[in-house]
Amino acid sequence: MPPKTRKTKKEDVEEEEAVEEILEETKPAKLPESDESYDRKIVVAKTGTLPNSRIIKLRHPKEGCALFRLSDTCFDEIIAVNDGHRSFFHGESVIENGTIHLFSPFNPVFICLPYLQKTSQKFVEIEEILVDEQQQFEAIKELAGNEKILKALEQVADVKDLLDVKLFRLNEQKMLEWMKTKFEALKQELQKDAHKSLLDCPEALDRHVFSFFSDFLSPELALQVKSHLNIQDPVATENVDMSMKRKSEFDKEFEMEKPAVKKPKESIQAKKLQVAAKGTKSISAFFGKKN
Amino acid sequence: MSLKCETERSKTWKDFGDGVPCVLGIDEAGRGPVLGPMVYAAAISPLDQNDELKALGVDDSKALNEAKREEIFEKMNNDEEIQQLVAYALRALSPELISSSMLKRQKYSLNEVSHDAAIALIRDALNCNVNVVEIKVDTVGPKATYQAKLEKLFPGISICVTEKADSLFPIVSAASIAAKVTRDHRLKHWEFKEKNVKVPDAGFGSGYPGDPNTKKFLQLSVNPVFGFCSLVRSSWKTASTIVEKRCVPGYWEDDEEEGKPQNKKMSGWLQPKNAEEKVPKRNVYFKERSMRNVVSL
Repeated sequence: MPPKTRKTKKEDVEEEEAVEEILEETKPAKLPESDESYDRKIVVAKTGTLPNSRIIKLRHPKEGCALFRLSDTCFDEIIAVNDGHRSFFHGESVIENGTIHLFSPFNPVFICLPYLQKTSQKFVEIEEILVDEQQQFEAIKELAGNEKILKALEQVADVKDLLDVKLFRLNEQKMLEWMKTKFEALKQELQKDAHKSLLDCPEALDRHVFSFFSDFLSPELALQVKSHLNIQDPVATENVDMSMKRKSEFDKEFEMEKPAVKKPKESIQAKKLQVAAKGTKSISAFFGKKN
Repeated sequence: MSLKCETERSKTWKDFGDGVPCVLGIDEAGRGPVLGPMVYAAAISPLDQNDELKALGVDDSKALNEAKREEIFEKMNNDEEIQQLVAYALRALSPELISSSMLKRQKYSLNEVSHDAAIALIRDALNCNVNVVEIKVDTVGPKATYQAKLEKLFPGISICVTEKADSLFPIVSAASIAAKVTRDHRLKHWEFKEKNVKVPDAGFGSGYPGDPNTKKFLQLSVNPVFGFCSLVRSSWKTASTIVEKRCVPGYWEDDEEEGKPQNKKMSGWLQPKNAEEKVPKRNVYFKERSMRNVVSL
């Protein structure tokens, strides 16, 4: 709290004493009981798709695990959006947790690829491919019963029909070509919001897009795809190891020629602006990528 | 009242005495209390009528009691002769205005608030064609700085900033009376804009932090979620202490920046300890938008 000046010291003392008494006398207020029936979760999903959906836990292609939504028509990853200080007003009350759960469309082929890679040497029934040794990830088998997903897998795998039973085998070439089309589609989208400096440099743009794309691939697969797409690493400026180098006469001369960097004296105005701006976002935050 | 502050003028303030040379005195009322407005008043009177002004009984406002002050103020408002002798203008700063001024990001102290009120009153007099030749002001903060500030803003006018100005100069005493009576009246007849404010049977007292009735009112009326009603200067330590102890704990984005200890309860963010239950670390695109995967709903 900003310091206040008083007309008289007497008033100061009077307030100090009052505050002391208050500290002793005042107790926290009794809060109303929470109504459990009010608990809600906020979900954003494609209209009309919620019925007959299953929420399942699967291995995330990148690492770890995550929740996904599976239905006859939809496959989404569930993304929680919350910057930490959000609640909702609902009716005459408040829902404390302001998290929004986005059901974000996610291509199930990415989920299946690691499993296809495991059995890539032979043609196998889908029920034997989409199976996980760990019980917590057993839900992967539910994808095997989904017609839409099986159709999608044909983009990256060869299919053999044997006595009404479908067998799949990963086709590396097909997969890499498929990756390329996905990558290009992603690039089209990200370009819309990209910073000018990225649009000016194709290699940098590719790196930027690939960085996003890697979220859908295991680290090993990412390396393979990176190579196939020919993503270039950034060109490093001359990395001379100065620690081992003994200073030559030339270096010393060069050092002396460098003018001492003077920090410009900040005007009082500039300092005042800095103080006033404390805690506010930089203006570029308002011109950032669209959500 | 709220966050706006308007200048209120007595009947004869504008074009006072058709430009007769005047002395202008400024005083305030209600600086220390935690309740109600702070009122700034300026009084003007012709230079050559100092004796008549004294005769009004404005001599020493501290010696005056409430009844006497009200009597004099009543004359200032209704007696035509007196209105030719003295006029006044007021600026009443609401509790909300006081609190919000002091809680701004850029420091705006109560002293600066006071100075600005005084300056506004002087400007108003000049704009209303009052021929101000002398100004007498009670000290607020360092005397020399205040005097220099006023002299710079109003060159050509003889300015005197001093302690106990209300005892030294009748015109300041007159201003003091206008300020005090107005403040007392507005506090006494306060109309709560909020519904159902709990007031103790004995009322909310004088408004001073040491007044037991005032303290009782503060503790009784505070709402655990919304804090105090607009009668209260919430920037006062007396008030903020009650909020800290009694109200629902609050967390502000500012506290993070100012390094204050936080007790954030981010419900829904608990990461299970089982390593295999971890969500993937996502690309910066997602982090920027506060988006993450979940393992439970």
